[in-house]
Amino acid sequence: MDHLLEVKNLKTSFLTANGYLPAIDDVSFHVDRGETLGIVGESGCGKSVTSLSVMQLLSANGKIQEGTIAFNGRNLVGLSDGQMRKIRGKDIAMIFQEPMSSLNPVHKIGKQIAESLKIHTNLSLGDGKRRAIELLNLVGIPRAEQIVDEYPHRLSGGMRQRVMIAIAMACDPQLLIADEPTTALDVTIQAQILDLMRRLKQERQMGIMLITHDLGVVAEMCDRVVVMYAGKVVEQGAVRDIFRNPSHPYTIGLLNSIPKLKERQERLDSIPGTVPSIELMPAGCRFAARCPHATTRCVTAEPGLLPVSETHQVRCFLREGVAV
Amino acid sequence: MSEPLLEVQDLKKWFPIRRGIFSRTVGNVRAVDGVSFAVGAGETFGLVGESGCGKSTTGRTLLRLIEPTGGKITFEGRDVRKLSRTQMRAMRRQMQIVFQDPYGSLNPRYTVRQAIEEPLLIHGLASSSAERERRVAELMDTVGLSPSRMNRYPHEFSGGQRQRIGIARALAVSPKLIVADEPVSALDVSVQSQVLNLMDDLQKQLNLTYIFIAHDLSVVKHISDRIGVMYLGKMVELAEADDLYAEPLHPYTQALLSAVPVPDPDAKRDRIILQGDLPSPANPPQGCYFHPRCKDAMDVCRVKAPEWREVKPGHHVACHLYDEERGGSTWQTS
Repeated sequence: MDHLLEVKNLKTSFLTANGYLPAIDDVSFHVDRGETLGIVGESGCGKSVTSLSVMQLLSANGKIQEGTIAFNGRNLVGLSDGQMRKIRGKDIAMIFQEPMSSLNPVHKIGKQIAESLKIHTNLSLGDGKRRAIELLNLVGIPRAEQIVDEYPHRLSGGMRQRVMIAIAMACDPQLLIADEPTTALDVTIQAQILDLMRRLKQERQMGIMLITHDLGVVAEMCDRVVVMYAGKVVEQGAVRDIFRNPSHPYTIGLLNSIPKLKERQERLDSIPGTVPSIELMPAGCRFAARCPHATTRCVTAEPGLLPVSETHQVRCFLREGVAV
Repeated sequence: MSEPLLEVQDLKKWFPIRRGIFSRTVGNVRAVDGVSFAVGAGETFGLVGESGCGKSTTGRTLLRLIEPTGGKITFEGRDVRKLSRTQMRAMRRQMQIVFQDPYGSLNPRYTVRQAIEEPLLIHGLASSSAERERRVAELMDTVGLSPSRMNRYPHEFSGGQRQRIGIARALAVSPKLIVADEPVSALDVSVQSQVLNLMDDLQKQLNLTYIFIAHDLSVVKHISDRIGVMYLGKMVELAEADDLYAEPLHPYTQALLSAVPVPDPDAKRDRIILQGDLPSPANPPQGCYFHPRCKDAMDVCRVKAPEWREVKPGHHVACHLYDEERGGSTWQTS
């Protein structure tokens, strides 16, 4: 059977003063039904550009230059706005980081939930409201009958994120793209939201593409993980591959720089330097300047994705010549 | 703990809610409502809690960037609240603050040199331009920035570098105490660890005392010697960092710790998921503020606010579970 979502060799570029520069390059991954794929990396690694490319919500100066995005076997790249609009919000839904600014402040909660139902199904106004209440109940909002007639400012951040999820779930999507869904929330509220997402995934066999910088969230939520650095996939594998046998120096550095709750550390490991900017992308491996193992070859040539095991690949010359 | 450098007793900050044409005060938002703690010289005191718990307001009232409504703040034996404006200004040489947002807290029209030398000018710490330049170069070097970049503007620096500029600015007047309000929250993890290590080094070199305010529990635990946990304007628990994590007593601290996602796919998770949201500090619940969300709430919690007590040496908690009439030290059984 086809993958639910299969992205191949995706290259998305943005128009700058120096012409089109790629924000992500040669990005490939897939998401299956009922599984959560984590896309992890730091600011500027291209994780959000990847999700916006799938949704084709790139800003006017951005465009997909190469690659395919197959959803249920159908290539989304090159679809017209009208065709894409039929998929967006119905088969593929998205939730964003900012629950404060993603809701329209001048419309009632119920109306905002019913909006996507109105667009994608021919539900009447009354049915729309009834369905909105059902959805609010589904995402665990108390007093749904009253909340449906409230405005967003009356709700807390956690409640607004639940409303966003309710909107996303309205048309029973097959794929949910969640871009840093809990980053703006407190930990106890984050725990509630993650719990809700896990439950919805199980109940509906939905695929989730979870974009986050938080490795703790990844460990808890994801089945498989893609690690991105400066617009490239540097490592991918099952969640245990990444945490038990991290193989890219960047992944190792990232894991070592998190302070651990359980143990006492005198000093944190850190990765020296910063992410290269899109204008000054180095020729060879993009991590070479910060890598403790870099050789002259890393500066000039770029490694491909090499297998570590059947489920695990890494983009690093260190892997070369090591038997799988 | 060594001799306290800073002592805070029953600190309060109430923001009035005004209504009507005469701006009559109809109520108060009790942002900080009776917080007490002491910080020893050379120590790092962590303040944790979720948004709206009053941790940042606490930090700012200590420097009187916000005037406290009540309570006593003693710094090196002097009552900070009794100081005049001029005296307070001089006092701020000893107490500095580093803010969360490295993008918003630097003036975009000031070069790094101007930003770092401003406190030197205000406090009259360097007589000549050449001396200021030397001092700026020295400070940039201390925080790991190349002094050759002192004539650049903040936008030419990354988030982590900007936070280093903020730290250099705070260090310019050679303070004894630095209040760091979410200093690494806006940074990526790999950069966050660089800044945490820097703060650690500076503390050792310059014998600094930190009040470290953050919502990220793993970061606070890493850097702090002792930690205070706040909920809705009140301190609910205070203990040595290791002790607090090994044996959290307050049900809120327990829930907070269990909610932190662990970067290990095989970690055992006994998560306590709190129901509901933080109540409004303008209209807090009766009794213990935490009781509507508490898994262990008893009848007494609904009517009576718990007292702040030391249940083990150095470990304070405000919770009826540890009341003396209930056997006092139920922590042994938990």
